[in-house]
Amino acid sequence: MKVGSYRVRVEGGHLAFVGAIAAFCVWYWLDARAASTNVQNLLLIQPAAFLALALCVAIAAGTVKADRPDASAEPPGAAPSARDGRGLVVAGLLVLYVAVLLYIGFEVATFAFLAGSMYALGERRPVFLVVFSGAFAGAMSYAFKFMLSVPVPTLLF
Amino acid sequence: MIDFAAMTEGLRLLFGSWSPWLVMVPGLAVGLIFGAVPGLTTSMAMVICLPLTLYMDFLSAIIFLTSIFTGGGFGCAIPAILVNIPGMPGAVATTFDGYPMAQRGEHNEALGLGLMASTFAEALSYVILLLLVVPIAAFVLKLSSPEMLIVGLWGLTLIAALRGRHYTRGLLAGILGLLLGTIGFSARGDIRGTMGIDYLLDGIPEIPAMMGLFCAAELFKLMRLDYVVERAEARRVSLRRILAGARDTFRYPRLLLRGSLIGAFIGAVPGVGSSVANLLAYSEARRTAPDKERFGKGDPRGVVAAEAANSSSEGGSMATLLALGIPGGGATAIMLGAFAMHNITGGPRFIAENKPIVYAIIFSNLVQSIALMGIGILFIYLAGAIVKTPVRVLVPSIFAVSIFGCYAITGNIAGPVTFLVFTLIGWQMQRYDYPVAATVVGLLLAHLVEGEALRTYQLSGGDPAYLLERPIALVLLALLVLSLVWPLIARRFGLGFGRQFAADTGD
Repeated sequence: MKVGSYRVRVEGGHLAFVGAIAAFCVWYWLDARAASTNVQNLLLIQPAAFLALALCVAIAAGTVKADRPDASAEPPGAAPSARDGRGLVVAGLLVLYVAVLLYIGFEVATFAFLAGSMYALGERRPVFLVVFSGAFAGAMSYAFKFMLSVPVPTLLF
Repeated sequence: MIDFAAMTEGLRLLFGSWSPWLVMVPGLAVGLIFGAVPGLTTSMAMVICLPLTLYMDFLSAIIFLTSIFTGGGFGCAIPAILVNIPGMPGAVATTFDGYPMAQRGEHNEALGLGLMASTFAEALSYVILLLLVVPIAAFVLKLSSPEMLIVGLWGLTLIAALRGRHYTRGLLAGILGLLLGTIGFSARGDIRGTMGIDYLLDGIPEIPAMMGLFCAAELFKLMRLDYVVERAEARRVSLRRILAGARDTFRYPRLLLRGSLIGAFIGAVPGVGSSVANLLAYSEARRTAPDKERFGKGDPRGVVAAEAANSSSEGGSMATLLALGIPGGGATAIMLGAFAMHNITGGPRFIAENKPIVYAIIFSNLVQSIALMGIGILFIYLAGAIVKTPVRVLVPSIFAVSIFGCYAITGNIAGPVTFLVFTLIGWQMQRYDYPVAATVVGLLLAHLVEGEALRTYQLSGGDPAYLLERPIALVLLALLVLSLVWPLIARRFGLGFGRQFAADTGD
């Protein structure tokens, strides 16, 4: 966007992130007040939430940058690469992993997560994918369930 | 200051039987393993092993537990250095320079520095404990709620000032952690921020949240690489280079000594411990360095200061436990449990009634420090293999181990879900250059800060003049204010932080 001889640039993603933090602070402050307005309940939360909101405003202001069109031809930051998309895929697999843990068991879910994420990150040897994922998931489930007595839900053991 | 008759009796107890020595090496190994695996903690190792101590005499049981404590104190530095995930809060500051060293291919030297600093500092802290157990206990008793509140807030502001390039983002990250840490029941029974989720009534599970934030911060960045250390020749684990790193530790004797003293003192303060000690020691190392811009970029001095402090805090926390019967953290709380299992009452009378045992515990820990050097080198040799593992295998494996570890900590799905939520938060924080360490410290200190704020309010009746009657609180308050305004002063006078503050506010 251009304003006079200046080009105005907004770091949209960062602004949204700061906005989310501010929204959490406001919601939490209101939730705490709804629980009780006693000073003992709000002694820390209220001043901390106000300070956080002030910082959010200061940082949000910093996400709007104005510069002359000839001052910087390109915004700073590395050009996105094909590898950046890997994070999204692995994050999605992690969400799925946690979502199905209790339903298909730790060993099966871990096997599927390991094989899927290793594939997404570039491992292409099918035997390695199956053997490593299987051995790792089996060993972890066995160690936690039988050696450390952690009652992890499993499907096969 | 030292009761020589009791000390002789203590040495006789220690050297008169094999049993105290038989438990030391297994204890160190268990501590190293649990410390080195992200998601497993020293406290967890001690809890799991606690039933075993029923089959031991009291001295052997305490030596076994302190061996786990000692092993874990250094073990948590291994993932901090190799993959930037501190195994425990006490190793947060170790990541600041340890991981950049590993990225440069100097992981052997960093591990050697960490091991020697830990060994030396722990031994020194027990020597101090030997000499000063009574005066330390007397001083800690003088720290009441106002002082504890200020110490907690100071720890929080330090991390905001130390991490990241943007001071305001650091402060916001710290306060966000503080707010998140207060979710759940308040001291007077109010329920805040749980969204009706029962699992949150006792608060957000801290360890899974901490693991999520740290995992995300680094693992998502790692996915862009093929190996943690890209250069093949730099991935070699070298005993020679580990020993060289260990030797290099003594190139910084002042840092080593100062870090050890800070750790021993802070460790003696209940509820603060190694999580603040390592940050404070790191801060001091950086503040007093003529070339402070080198910190955070793989400076060995940062590793030495942080590791010395977190290891020596063990001696400090043992002082409080032995002298007052007050556990400084999870590990010493479990030790207090072992006291009860052996029908021994901890508290101010414990030392008076069990001086020979106290001296035996102190001397056994001095020996543990030396043993840690040997066992730690062997263990590093194995753990160093992490950097040889391709990232495509390492990253999913760490995620999976963390999920198992989080389930083990909470015993239900709340652990893995917390890990997932904080992984996603941490990913975005890392993306926009917010220091996740500040949020972690806020989260860990929230209960302490809120509890002490409440007690201070009750003691003072809401009158700030109450602080004027407490000289220690005033000194600590001055330090807190200084650490808060330091970036503004630095900006005014063109010192380092000014540019960072300006970067945030857009000035």
